[in-house]
Amino acid sequence: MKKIALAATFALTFATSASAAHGPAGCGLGSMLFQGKSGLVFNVLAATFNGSSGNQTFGMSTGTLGCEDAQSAKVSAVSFVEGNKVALSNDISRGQGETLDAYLELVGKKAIDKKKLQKSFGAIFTQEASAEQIHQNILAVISL
Amino acid sequence: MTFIFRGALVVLLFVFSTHLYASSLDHEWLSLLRYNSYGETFLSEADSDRFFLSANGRSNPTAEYEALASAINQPISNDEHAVCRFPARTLKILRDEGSSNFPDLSKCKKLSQYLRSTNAKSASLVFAGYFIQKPSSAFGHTFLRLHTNQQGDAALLDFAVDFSASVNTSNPIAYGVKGIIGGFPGRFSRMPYFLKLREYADLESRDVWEYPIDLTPDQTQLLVLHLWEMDQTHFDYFYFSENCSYHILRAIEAISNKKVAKHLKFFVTPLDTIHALEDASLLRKPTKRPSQFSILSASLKRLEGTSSILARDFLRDPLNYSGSLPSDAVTLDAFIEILNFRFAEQLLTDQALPEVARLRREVLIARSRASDSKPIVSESSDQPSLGHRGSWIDLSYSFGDSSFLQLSNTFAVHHFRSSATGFSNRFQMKMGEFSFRISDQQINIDKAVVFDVLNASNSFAIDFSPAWRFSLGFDRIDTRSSLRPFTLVSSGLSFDFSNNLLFMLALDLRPRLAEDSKTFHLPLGPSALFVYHFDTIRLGFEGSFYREVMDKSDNYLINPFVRADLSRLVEIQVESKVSKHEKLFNLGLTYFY
Repeated sequence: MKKIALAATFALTFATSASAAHGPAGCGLGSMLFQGKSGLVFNVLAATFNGSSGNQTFGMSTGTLGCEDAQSAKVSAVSFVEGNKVALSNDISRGQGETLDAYLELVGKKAIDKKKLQKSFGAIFTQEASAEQIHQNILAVISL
Repeated sequence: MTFIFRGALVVLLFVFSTHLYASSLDHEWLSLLRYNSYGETFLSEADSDRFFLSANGRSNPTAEYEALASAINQPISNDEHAVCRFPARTLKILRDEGSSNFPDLSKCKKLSQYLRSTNAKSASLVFAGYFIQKPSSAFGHTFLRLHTNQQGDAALLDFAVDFSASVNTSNPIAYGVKGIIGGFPGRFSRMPYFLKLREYADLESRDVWEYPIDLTPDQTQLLVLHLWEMDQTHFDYFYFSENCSYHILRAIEAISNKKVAKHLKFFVTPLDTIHALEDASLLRKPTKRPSQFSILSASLKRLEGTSSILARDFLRDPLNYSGSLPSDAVTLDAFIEILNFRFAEQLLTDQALPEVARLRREVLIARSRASDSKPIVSESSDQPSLGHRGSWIDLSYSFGDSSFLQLSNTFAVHHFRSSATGFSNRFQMKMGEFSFRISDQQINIDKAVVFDVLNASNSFAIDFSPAWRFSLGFDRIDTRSSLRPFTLVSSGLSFDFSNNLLFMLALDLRPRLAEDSKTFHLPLGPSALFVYHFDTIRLGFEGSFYREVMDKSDNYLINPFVRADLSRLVEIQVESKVSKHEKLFNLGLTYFY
């Protein structure tokens, strides 16, 4: 079995740079749910038939709806904010939480004083702020 | 000399072909390509020709093995090379051959890109629990979490892989028919794990259980490569059998090289797959991620006195809340969770009404100015796999006004009278119950229930939705009546006096075809349901009073019972059923499987 691990490591080492798009488009829940399949009748049928429905755009080989950062191959920070806006705002208002920790890990700022973000909540989550703006606002507060 | 050489060659060829034949029919190869054996023949469950190299590969594992073994030696030029498409199978063949030289994958650009983001250090089987408020969540759902976050432990940076049907119709009838006959293509998909958590835990308010899969690092790598291969095909999606949970289980089976699927029943529920994987020692102790509903419940239970009154007031109608916002952190935490629960769909799909967004921002700003508070901790609950199995057989003897034996089988998944370990005690999802009565050397169908769903969760205290029960099938009013189609629609209140109590008062409508098969009965009346859960015993009562809407005749049913657990898989029950026309006593035994 060592060969398997070796081969996988080999594959990773020689992987060429990813060309996945960077950007938040389509990474939120709104883009993957409610595509004409809601309603009581549909839900009862789904229960009766033990079903689940998927979204073809999440295929293995097609990236993740453009969620990945080209360099890190992780979900981009903006995409992360878009997909976790509610939980992230909860956490920042409280100065703690799993979503905030994950975001800070993603942007490489795990050591930051989270109280600093909490105190700047109003400046970070401005009215109708987009994910990109929220991300930039957080970075601005961190850099102060 | 020539004779000796030819002889050696024949022996070598024989040994090689025997080895090849054996390797192509071993469990690992058959599992990786989803072959099932039918006597002497094989057929793969994969429904795309692209999943095979050989023209007859779908039914011939040996031909497919030979084709890939040959293709491996060809230089790789692009993503279409067999090695790029089937890296897990390639590893299997190279291992069989004792080769240590894995082909250069640098030309497999798509695979390399996939591996960069999906290189996992471990994996978990994730079970999104039952949430009867949303009927499509009543069975639960399973999918994989790949621990791809190599740098840290943040689960939200991991990836998830699930198997789901591509539903291409919104017509309910077409949906049902196509679902049963495999009319939808099912595919594996990969997505950020946080999306699945937001969907299940936050939007649908389902507790999410993460079961670490007991895999070696090599097996985890093989899983990642195998999932890549799964993207080369689709599988016809059968709701009852080859569904989401089944294919996730088969992926784990393939890379663990353990025989798991053969223990499954024909009808497969997510719970069945968890039990099967646990039986094969492939799952470790799970951890729970509480649902939004669980978090809100816990946050409300932390409040006392004025804070509790304020929160309840806010809960009733947040947008018309006339009080001032609290200043303490714990109460504000509850306000936040109320908004998150009440407006989950709007908030999570970024479609919040302006007044909702404005109110939530005010609450969050107030919270950011408050002091620290301890994180909200939801109540612990038993892991789903600690409960009974998902199907059961009942054997009972009835006596009184008549005597007979009754034998029934229920396909899924939980009865409110059964042990609630691993389930909610205010929930029932009973489906596919077939009951036979044996008396006077005759066997008759006594009951055939398509489904019987009960939601008596304590959500009424939180989201003000009523408790309800909905059932459909064929049964008899009493032992002398005929088998007739019926439906039961019941709606009422569920009371939250104790966590061990199910107490529901409702109004029932139970239309059924009359004995003459020409008219309908429309009985309507109040009903009461009471079940108290002691440690291993349940004491319960079902009672109803009906007045026939058509001819104003009355009937009633009084049905007290005691049920006890002999083990996790065996329960016994004593009950009596008294109606206007009949009195029966019943001793029963239930076996879960």
